[in-house]
Amino acid sequence: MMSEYNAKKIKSANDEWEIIIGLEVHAQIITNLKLFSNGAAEFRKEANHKLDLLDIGLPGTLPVINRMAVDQAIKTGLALNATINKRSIFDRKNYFYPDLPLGYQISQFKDPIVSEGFINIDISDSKTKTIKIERLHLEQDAGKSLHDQSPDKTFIDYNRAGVALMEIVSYPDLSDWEEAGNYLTKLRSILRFVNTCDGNMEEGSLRCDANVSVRKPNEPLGTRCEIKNLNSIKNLMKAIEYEATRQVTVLEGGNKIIQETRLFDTNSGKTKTMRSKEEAHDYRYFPDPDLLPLELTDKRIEDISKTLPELPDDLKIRLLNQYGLSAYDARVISSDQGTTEYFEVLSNNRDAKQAANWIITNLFGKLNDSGKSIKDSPIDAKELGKLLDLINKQIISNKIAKEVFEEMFTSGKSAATIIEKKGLKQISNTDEIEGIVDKIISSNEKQKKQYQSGNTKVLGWFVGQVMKETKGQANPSVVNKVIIDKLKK
Amino acid sequence: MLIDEKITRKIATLAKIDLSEQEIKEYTKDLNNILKWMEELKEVDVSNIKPVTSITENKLYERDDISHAIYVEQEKVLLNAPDKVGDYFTVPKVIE
Amino acid sequence: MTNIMNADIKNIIKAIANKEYSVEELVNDFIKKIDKLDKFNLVSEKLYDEAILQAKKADAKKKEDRLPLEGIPIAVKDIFCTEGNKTSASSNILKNFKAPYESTVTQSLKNAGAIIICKTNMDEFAMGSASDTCNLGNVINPWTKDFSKPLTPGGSSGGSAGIMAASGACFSLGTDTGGSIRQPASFCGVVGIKPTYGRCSRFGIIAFASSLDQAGPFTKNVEDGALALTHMVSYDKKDSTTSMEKMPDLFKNLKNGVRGLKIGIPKQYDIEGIPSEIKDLWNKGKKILEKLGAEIIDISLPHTKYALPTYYIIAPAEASANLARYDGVKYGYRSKNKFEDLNEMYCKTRGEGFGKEVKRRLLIGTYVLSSGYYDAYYLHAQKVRRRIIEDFDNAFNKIDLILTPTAPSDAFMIGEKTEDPISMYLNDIFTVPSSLAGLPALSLPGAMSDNGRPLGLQLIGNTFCEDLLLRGAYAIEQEICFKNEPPLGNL
Repeated sequence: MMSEYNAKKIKSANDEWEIIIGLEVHAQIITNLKLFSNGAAEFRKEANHKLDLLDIGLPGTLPVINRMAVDQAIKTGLALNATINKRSIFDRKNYFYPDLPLGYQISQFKDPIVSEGFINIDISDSKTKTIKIERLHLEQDAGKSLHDQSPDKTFIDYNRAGVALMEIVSYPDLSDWEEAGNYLTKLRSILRFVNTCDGNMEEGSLRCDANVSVRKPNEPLGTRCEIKNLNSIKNLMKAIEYEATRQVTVLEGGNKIIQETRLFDTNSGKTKTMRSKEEAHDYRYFPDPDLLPLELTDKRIEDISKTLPELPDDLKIRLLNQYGLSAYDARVISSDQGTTEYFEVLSNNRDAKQAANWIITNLFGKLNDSGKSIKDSPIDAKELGKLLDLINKQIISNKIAKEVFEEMFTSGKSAATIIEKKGLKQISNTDEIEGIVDKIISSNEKQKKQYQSGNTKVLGWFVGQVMKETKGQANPSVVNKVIIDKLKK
Repeated sequence: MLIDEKITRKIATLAKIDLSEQEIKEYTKDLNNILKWMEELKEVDVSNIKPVTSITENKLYERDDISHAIYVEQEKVLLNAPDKVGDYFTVPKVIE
Repeated sequence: MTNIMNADIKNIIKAIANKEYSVEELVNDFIKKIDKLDKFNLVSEKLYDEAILQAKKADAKKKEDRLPLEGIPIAVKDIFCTEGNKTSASSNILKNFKAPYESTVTQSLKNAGAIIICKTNMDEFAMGSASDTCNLGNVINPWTKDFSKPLTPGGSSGGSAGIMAASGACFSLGTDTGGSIRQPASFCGVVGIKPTYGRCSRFGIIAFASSLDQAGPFTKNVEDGALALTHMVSYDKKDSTTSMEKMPDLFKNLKNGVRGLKIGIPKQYDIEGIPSEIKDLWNKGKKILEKLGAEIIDISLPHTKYALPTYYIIAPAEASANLARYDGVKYGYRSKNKFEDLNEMYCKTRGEGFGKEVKRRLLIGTYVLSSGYYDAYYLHAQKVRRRIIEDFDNAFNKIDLILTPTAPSDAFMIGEKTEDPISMYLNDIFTVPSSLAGLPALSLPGAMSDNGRPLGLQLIGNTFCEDLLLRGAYAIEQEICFKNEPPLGNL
């Protein structure tokens, strides 16, 4: 059983330091069109294609909000147990950068569409921790700057400029890198469940910045640093561990932490100061006069709440109660809708624990190795179910079943076909097994005598011989029983 | 003096406007006069007054997320670009 | 018809319909006229070839296919994007910028059959009150008698106001942020209408201050104004701030007079230092309305004096963001001088591309939004703006229209006020309060000053009450009978 949970701390010779982490997550919203324009939201290879006038900031163009993006933000807010604000306001965040076509980003500053939510993360098999969410707001994504295309020029592509984003900001409730990783995993899983963001971190549709500070217990909060460019959960965890350790080293060396933005270098595993900006940012937020306040009706919020699917937490509880899964299995199965669907088909009229076990140990292993998601699994749940049935009817052994499974995964053939073709059917026929056992006992008098004089360990040796003879196809329990009967005679 | 030349320089940096020394002097003077003129607004009692965020009382119109949008014709996207390479707008190299 | 260019729009339409005149002849007459006006620098671009092409198409149309404004030549302020044409808002930063799309307002007018014959000069990005910040040089008021002392047409829509004064188009388009239609209308002796904020779509109009900008027409008379405005307004899904409120029929009660209407006279507009001739005109307006059966009521708009400083916080603040897109990356001017890096490119491009007044306002706007000053300036100004709106709301509980002068002076000499920005800003003292409240307002010519320059009267209506506004203006217009013409000699 798990021991009492404690968040990780940075230990030095004399002290123990607590880590305080808050995450800002940028999630690209699943829509066809951009947040305020008719430009395409989809990823595309050709630069500056399928743009609207606003996407290149033409004079006289105006933003018009996309209803779908608003609905998606409401849906996400509801899934995060948050308050949906019936009146929210869009602000302009002013700064110059070539991939920002208007010279400002339309965002929400003082009055976001969603505030005060929470998600629960599992910190052990039996314990969850509530991480509070401060806000979720809608904003425009920036375009892309390509710095490596020419020695003296930066190339600008506005395809992504204006795509709808949700910025989801947590309170600094996270206490170590594992919790941070857990939080992001859980958040991503929720976003995928409600289908508002595909959660793909490599492609940048989910991005994360971490605010990290350290302090000695019961002391006031330390100065924080913001780490940017965290493009995977693994890197997020590594970066926080590195950064917290770095801050402790700095503080214990008698120096101060400077509040700054740092970048995580995936090669070295270190965070480093971003090239210092020539001036401090002053975003000069003010309400965008091109837009009106966004007013939401109770009915709209209610209608959207009716479309919410079963969410990971509820699902986990149902898996525990309905199927009697272990906490661990329930958590893993409930983290992904595809896995849940797979599990529910597989466990139908079968042993649920066995089903969960096969998914987690065998199927996940193969899927990981081949970089496939469960939805693209070459073995669907019905086929895997047939394999489990063959095990349970004792037609094949577990060991053989694993061999068959490998073959199914690579060839896509059914279990029955493979077993038939390779002659892997288990021998449970007692007559047949008795014949083989008789033959082995009669040619091994020495071992027979050893058994009869009380050395029962030799039984295993006899079983091994039978299995060797039958190429592992004999049913082990039948073999055991027959040998014991024969040796007693 | 509400603002000095240092502040004028700071604002100009924020607004990304290159100013000559002469302009800095002139604008500092102008801005001081204008800001001084604005001081009289402080007389107005605005306690419990909500700031104006929009003067129309419309409901915000929300567009449909339809996939058959009409995009800007490709040749028009880079029509007015001061500097371009292929399909890209270009600027002097930015070092992150 | 010998002087068709001076005729009312409805008579021009009739003449064309009756084949007394072809559209092509009409367009050619206006082209000749506009060419003669070159010395006033009213026009930024002549669109003659396209206009003649459109005229020929109009002439070829069957009677039943004719559109309501078929063949009517108009002049458009260079702040409206017109597809395929240079659209620069009189700024070097947009010099040679070709608009790849059409503004909603000009599209509506084209759809109604109007023909754009030229685009007109203005204050750079509509920031000014004298049309003396234009990148193509000062715009000159056609009322100028002595060219060694040229008069300003007012601003920012000086070119459009001037071209109407000189009968260079059937009507022209302007935009009004703090008075940019009404003040030049007053200086040029024409009618200029700013409808309720939200009536005309701002889509395709180069933004100055988004919460204030409104398009409107310049016309020779109120009835023409009603016709032009009718074809300019629309609820536009491309502009979230346009209103769904249906525009009342502007002709239905236009000529019904003002009997029984309550006209407010705000005491705060009786400011120290305005010339007696302007007070006289204001009194004349009151007397006319009284004579026609309207009730004159003294009202108070206590926050009037705070309107200008409020405006000069809010408008520049919005402009500082609206003009951030002019960065030399996507279109427009990029510095030709050497720059070391991106930041220098930005600063030089914007330092060289923007003119003096625009830079001044961008600096003010940036300052009032910047950290530490936002609450004291921008936020406070938006609260004072609420006070100003409340003043009008209270007033309109008791009255139907407000009568004031349009501007505190007649047209002044170019260069007279350029040295002192505040004295220039004071030009908008009577027009800015209603702009801040988004109210419809217009200026109509009322009298000639002692110097022989036009003076305008301003009427302010309640939100969405353009019908009442024009009805009041029409009644005054019929009594005043302003028939003065600028001294254009044999032009």
